Amino acid sequence: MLNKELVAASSKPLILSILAQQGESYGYEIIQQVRTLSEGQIEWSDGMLYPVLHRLEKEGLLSSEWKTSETGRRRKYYRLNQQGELRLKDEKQQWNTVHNTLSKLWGTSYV
Amino acid sequence: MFSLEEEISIWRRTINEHEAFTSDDIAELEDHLRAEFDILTSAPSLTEAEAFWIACRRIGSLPELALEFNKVNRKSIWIGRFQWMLLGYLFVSLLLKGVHVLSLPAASLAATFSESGLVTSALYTLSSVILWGCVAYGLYLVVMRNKSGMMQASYQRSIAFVHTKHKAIIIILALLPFILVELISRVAPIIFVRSLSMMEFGQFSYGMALYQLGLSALLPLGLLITVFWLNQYPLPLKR
Repeated sequence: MLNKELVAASSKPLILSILAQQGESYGYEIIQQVRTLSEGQIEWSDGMLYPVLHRLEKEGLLSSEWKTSETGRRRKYYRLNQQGELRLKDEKQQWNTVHNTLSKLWGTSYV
Repeated sequence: MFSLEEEISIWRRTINEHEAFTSDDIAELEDHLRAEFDILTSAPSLTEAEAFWIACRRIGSLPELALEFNKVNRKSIWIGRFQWMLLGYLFVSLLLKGVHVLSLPAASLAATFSESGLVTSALYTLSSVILWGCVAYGLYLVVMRNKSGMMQASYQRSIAFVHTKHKAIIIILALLPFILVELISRVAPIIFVRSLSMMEFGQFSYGMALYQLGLSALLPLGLLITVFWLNQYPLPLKR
């Protein structure tokens, strides 16, 4: 299981990446996807995702829209906008830097 | 028997008590709750009640969620508080004006029959006390009914009403005549009264009284019309 700080720090690149891949998604689907992809290792308290989404929206990285879902209920869908795509690129670079550095350090002994 | 709609309405009532959530937030969380419930009930080993319990647990404890939503919604929370303050101020001023207007006939009646100012003021005070008693009783009824859930629907509607985008317009519209009345009735005497003859002064006071009476009656009416007019528009998602 990931520790709290890392879960919080990784939520932004995770959300941005999922939306970049999916095009459009809603809270529940995003959480399910994170759960599946991380094989249960990244565990979010479900409701906590929404303040993060709203913050990203306020930062101007996401745009959202209320639509009727296939269940007939009203549902809020999020999508990445141009600024979000730029931010994702930046995030990718930063996370890759961390990843590469750690890989070099651990490369011989860990892998 | 388990009823999903009933459970959801209880859940919605609980979340409504936190000011951190906007109506859109609640609608979004409710959709999440329902989606989780649908998935969980597709597992045959869970009863509906168990599925709902788990869905609620997974979404997280409301006080903890409120803390996070509070950070994101800080601005709108303060705007909302400020508007409640204004509404409260307006409401009390209206009540005061209403009581004053209704107590005046009693006082003038007393003044007609008695030379003594004491009787007049006593009657004025007495009628004010009775009227305030009526107001307090009305408020008490509203509060008690809310508690027993009889006015739940209208209570939720009033909450939804407060969350609309139009609230700023409502407050301004409601306050505008109020501010105008206050301004005119305080500024006008200062400017005019000194230059008036006795006769003109009497006419001026009479006109002022009529003007205030008219506005005291028109103001609540205007408010009511505004509220009904705005209610024609769909509220953002708070069912």
